[in-house]
Amino acid sequence: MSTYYVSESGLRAFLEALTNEAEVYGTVEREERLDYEGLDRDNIKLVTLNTVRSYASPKAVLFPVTERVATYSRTGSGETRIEEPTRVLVGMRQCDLAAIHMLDLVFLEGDYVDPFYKARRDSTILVSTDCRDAAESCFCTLVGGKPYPTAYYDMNLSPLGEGCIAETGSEKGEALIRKHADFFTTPTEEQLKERERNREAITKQVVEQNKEFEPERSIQEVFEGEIDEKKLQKLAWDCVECGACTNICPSCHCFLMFDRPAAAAVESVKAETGLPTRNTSRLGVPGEAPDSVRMGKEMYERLRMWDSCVFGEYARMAGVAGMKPNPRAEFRTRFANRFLHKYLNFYRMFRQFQCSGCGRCFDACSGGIDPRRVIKEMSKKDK
Amino acid sequence: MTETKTGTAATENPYRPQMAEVIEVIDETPTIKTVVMAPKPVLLFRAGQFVQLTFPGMGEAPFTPSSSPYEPERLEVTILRTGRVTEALHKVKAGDWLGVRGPFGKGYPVEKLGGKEVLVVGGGVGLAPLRALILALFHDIDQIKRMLILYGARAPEELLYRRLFDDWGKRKKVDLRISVDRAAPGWTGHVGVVTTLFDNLDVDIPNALAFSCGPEIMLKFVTLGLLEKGFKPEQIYLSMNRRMSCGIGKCGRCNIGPYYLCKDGPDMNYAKIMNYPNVF
Repeated sequence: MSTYYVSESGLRAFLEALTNEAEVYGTVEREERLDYEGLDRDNIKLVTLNTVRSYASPKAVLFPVTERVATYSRTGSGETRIEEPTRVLVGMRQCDLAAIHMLDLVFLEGDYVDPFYKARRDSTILVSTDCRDAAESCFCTLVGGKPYPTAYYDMNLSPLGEGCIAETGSEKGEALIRKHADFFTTPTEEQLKERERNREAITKQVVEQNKEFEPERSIQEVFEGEIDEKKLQKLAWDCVECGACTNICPSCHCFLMFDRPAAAAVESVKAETGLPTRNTSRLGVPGEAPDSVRMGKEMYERLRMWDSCVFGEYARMAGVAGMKPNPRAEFRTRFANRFLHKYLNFYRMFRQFQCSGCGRCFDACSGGIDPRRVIKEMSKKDK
Repeated sequence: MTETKTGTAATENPYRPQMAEVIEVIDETPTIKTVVMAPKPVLLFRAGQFVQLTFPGMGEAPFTPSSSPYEPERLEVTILRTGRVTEALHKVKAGDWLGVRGPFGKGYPVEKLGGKEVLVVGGGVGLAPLRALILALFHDIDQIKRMLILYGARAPEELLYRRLFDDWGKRKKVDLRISVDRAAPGWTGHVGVVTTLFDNLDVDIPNALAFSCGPEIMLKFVTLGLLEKGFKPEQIYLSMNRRMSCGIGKCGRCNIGPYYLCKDGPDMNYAKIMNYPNVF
């Protein structure tokens, strides 16, 4: 849409102004690690854009680890009211944006819309940034991505030597700039050229560092057809089934639903919503307004929490062993299912991978399993 | 969603159950009961679509209604006692309240059955979802050529819907054949797993479609048996068993390849799934 220039001090002032009108989360560097934090007057100065992606993605802001999705009583269930404040996420990378698009496909497309995700998504403004450096695990270019935002952002910030180019990607972003027009000016030709040079440099860096991982066949082809079970078994060997990969993955969306009496719920809602925004991502944000939960033994609530397809219990049904209650009882079948889902099944559903190449699963893996290595090995034709 | 600072909306919530009063509980076998409910408003469904049944405070389990889609005011769900939620569901009595969500899934392709011979193969409690199809076809019996129902259970006392068999067997265009894995004193019928009923399969195979529901191992041998008889994979529909939770293709756990049973099934055409891992 349109491009602007914002100075370093202008950007801080802009962010501070945003905190007065919305819940703002930004990437803050602490102990050499970039993480999302709720921003306020004190930590805005720590917001860092011109480095690698954050350690964890901001998935939990749109899709909390645990949330209430329904309350009901024996004799009825009223309407669901969802209230979400305006939120701004600052510092998202293309891998984060692409992953949010994948979550959009799951939660917003099809016959049923997830009302909780939708409410948060609608009230969230995505302010992204170009990558100026890459983690060793980054591989966006291997899965068709770029290390700078190309889609799905409302506003993008491209850090320059001094200040940033701001580019709008949606009406939400335009409105934000219109409202804070004082901070933004027109960029010079030289500034726009500097952005292009930076983008070329970082793309080259990511492509270079992934040369050794380039698969011998296209990734779709790798996961089509017969899967070499023995090879897979070997690759899965170091997995300890901890679920870190799916938790840290910005596009994994599987969840478990469970019910409990609402009396217990009222207690924990207090605990969850009592958290300060600073240094927390308010992970326990409940879906429904807490006051809709009435105390009493006749009230029940339904919660959902992140789940992981690598867990043995994930797909297990009720029933005895002879009924084969677990369709993926052997670990290698669960390991395979994760890769097949990311690179083949999701592709068949939505014509794109469910992996944006952020490499966080490798960073988080206690077994050191590198998805690039898995793809590369699986891509080798048997000799 | 308004453009104000706070987005607020009262909304359709696919995760919230609607409450339904239990009007009758029928003891079917030592481990199977049928719970009859009267959801208000009435829950309309196609044969083969499923509902998520909530035992308040305990949780949900998926069931395909076993009653006729033409009589939605009397919603029947037939339940095998096999886990935590079904254990609780076996204790409900008339006058109790349960939660219902749905219907979910595609349902049986009844629109493809005009002029066809319909082969129904059930095992154990697997006859329950098939009963919705059977009742729907009783209603529209003029439109199909014939229905052959093959049903097997482990023992005579485990046969589901015995109370209905006399009526089913007398209906025009309907053949009902029963088998048990193990006979008991007084049993004069066929003995053997349900696939042994394939030995005298008097079906015009090119004009037939088969529907099967039962434990995984039975589905496997029914499929192999039908293929051997000359059925094509496209002619076989299987009620696959997977853990369906959200019902709307979001929670992820009920997949076979790129299909979510909750939204694309739970009955799947065998041709669609045969090349994906861990089908049986």
